[in-house]
Amino acid sequence: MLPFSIELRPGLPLAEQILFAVKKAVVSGQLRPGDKFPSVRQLSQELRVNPNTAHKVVAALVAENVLLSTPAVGTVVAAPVAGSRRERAALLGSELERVIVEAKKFGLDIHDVQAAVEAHWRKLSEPSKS
Amino acid sequence: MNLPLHILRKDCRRLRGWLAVWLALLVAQAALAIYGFTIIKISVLGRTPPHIRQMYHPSLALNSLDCLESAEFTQAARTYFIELDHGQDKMSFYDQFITYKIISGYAMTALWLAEIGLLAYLVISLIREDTPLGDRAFWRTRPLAGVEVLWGKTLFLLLVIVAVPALFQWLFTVFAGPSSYESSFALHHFITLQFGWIALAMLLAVLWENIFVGFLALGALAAFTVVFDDLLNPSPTDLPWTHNPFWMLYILGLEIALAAALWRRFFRRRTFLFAGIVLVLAWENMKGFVAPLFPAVQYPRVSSSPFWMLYLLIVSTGLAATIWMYLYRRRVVALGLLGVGVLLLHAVTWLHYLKVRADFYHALDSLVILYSTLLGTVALLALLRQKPVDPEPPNTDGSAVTS
Amino acid sequence: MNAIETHGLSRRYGRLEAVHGLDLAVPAGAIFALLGPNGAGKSTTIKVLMNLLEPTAGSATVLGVDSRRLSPRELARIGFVADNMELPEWMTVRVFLDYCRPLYPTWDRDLESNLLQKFELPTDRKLKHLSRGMRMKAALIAALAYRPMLLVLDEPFSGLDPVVRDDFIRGVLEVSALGDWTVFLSSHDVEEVERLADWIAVLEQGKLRFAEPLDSLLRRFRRIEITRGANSVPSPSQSQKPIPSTWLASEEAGTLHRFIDSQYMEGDAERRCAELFPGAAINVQPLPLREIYLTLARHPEAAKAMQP
Repeated sequence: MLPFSIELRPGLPLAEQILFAVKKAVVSGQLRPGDKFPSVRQLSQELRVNPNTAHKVVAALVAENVLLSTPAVGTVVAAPVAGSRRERAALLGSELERVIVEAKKFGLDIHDVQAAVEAHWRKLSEPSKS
Repeated sequence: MNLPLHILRKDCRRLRGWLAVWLALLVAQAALAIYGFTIIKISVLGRTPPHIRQMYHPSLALNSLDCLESAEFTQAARTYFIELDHGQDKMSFYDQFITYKIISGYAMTALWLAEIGLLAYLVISLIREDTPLGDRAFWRTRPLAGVEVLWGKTLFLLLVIVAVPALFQWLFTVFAGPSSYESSFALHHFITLQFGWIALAMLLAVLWENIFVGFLALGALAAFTVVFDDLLNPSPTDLPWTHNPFWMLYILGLEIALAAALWRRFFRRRTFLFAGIVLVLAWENMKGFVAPLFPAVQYPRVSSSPFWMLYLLIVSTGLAATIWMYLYRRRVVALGLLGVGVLLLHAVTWLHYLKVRADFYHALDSLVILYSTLLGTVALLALLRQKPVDPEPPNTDGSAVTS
Repeated sequence: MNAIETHGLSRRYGRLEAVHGLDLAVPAGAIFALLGPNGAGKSTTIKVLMNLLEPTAGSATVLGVDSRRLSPRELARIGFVADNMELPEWMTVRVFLDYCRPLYPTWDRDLESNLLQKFELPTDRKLKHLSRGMRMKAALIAALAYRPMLLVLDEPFSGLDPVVRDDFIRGVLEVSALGDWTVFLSSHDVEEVERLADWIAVLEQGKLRFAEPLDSLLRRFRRIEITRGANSVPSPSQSQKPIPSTWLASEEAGTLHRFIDSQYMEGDAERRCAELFPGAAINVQPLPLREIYLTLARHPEAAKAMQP
């Protein structure tokens, strides 16, 4: 079992999906600094992906300082480098793009979108009934 | 790890049930022969009548109580009994003796046929398990060399089909106490015959995909030959027709057909392999060198009869074809051999009738029968031929990509 | 260093050419998927590679050795599983593995029992009494336990239910140590291999249509959707501006244009679109492998030649 949430969708590049899921997990606190990150083999087995893909992902994460390669323990989650709010918001990039494109198709403007975002935010912030 | 032994162990394990049956048959045969021989000994108060030595074939494989089927022997034995008892009527014992003789005759024949049938089954099954032909055999994708597989199978055959029965044969000859000539002859005769059956089984398995059809075909050939032969040339001096080798083949064919019908799965595979007929050929050749070294042992002289030549040819080509197949995995050679075999059969038939019967017209007759039978067999084969279960050439209907 | 190479490989059955002039190079360490419809010649190719068949023309080299001269030494480093292979059905699983073990000097008993446990195979049942999926798993253990340098799988997933398929993949990945082995598998189902393959090659009617790394395919194909805005500009078919030849499957309906870019480069396409469709909204989406496959099937000119 992997220590972060991920749902692989067919068709989209796998490496990117995994990268994104890991970064999101780090930012949201699901993966804490110092947590042991799964090995390439574990990653490839759990996700049923090509080990080369898993290797590339881990290498990229290490290069971007999301993960740290320690000699004794293996790969661990690195301390986030002061992830500013703006940087974190940037992770929503693709979702936002989609929303904006759709909104434009419907002929909405930025104020309509903001109002809709507020409405949905309120709804989801309410304590769940079950 | 000795790979041929590894394969031998595997095959022994797979066939262990049948090996038990094989052993049981051998034991039964030996028991029957010993019992019969004992009766003879007892019936003449511990002494063996002189006729027995002359007519006795101490070979288990040839039905050791052959002699008892002969009318002359029965007559001679009866006379002997009466002489022995000084004219007293000991007919009750004699009746028991004759009853045993009749029953054992059938029993021995049945056992012998069962043995031959099982031999063929063992050989075929052995080879089908790891066939060198086709592209589906399991061993082909494992690190096993063709030679190693061949050796493994050969060891099995040498052990099970030659060595163990030879042991029984030897034990019996020791018990029967014939001369060294007789025992070496019997052993020699026996081993030769075993190789012959093995070779024939394998050669046929190679040539026909559908092995039981092959045997049936051979049997049909045999039946024709036997029937016409005896109809045209009844002769009291001949051995009874049930001793005709072709008749034996016919019976064997029926047995194989029955076995195959019961185990349908063997239709699909081709089989083949074979054990040291080279030994027999070498033996024949070496005798000339070896005999002077051991003058005490009298080696039987091999006749140069055409049937013997034919036998040697079938057996050696069977071996050659088998080895070729395991080394090169091609079946072209086997088909070529069939042509050679037919030519030889022609030559043998011709020579036999000319030399033995000195009868040109009979020779011609027999050739006509031979070829008409062969043609009939080919026609039968063509009718019954099943489609090979080799992977068929792929269909290229351009079926769409799924998903 | 290539694990497998073929040079003009051909194999014919009578008059039918099952494989024709195949030139393939499988780099060591890759997971190489050979795709194609039924009857395309994939199984024949694999049989030639494994020396079960001989090529009628051309040659194939496996682990540096001509396929016709594959000896036990190479076979001890090659694992093979086919969907219709003949196994000694009378053996139980345990006897079967006992039989295979002495043939391979690198057999790892721990790995064997690990896989047995993972696959939950009943060791005392005869192979002929196992379901198809279990039989495949048994064959897979017999092919993986000695950590082969090359694993050849002929339609390994066909007829397997999703659970067994998943087990199968996990088993293969379990043994996978990066770069230490090459996997060559054939399939007629694109989606099966999407996650696993490094390289995709497609065979059709005995001929190679294309062979390309999966990354490269995913990188260069995009679906581009253009919605012309209110200030509608005439479509390129109405104006005289030429559409790049690398844009395929161009469709238009109303204000919507859709096509597939087969040589996508970041920023480049957007710029081009802006040129051709000023003021339009551009939506660029990656293309799933299945769609790429279909596109290349319909537009073979977009296939890149295989670099030897």
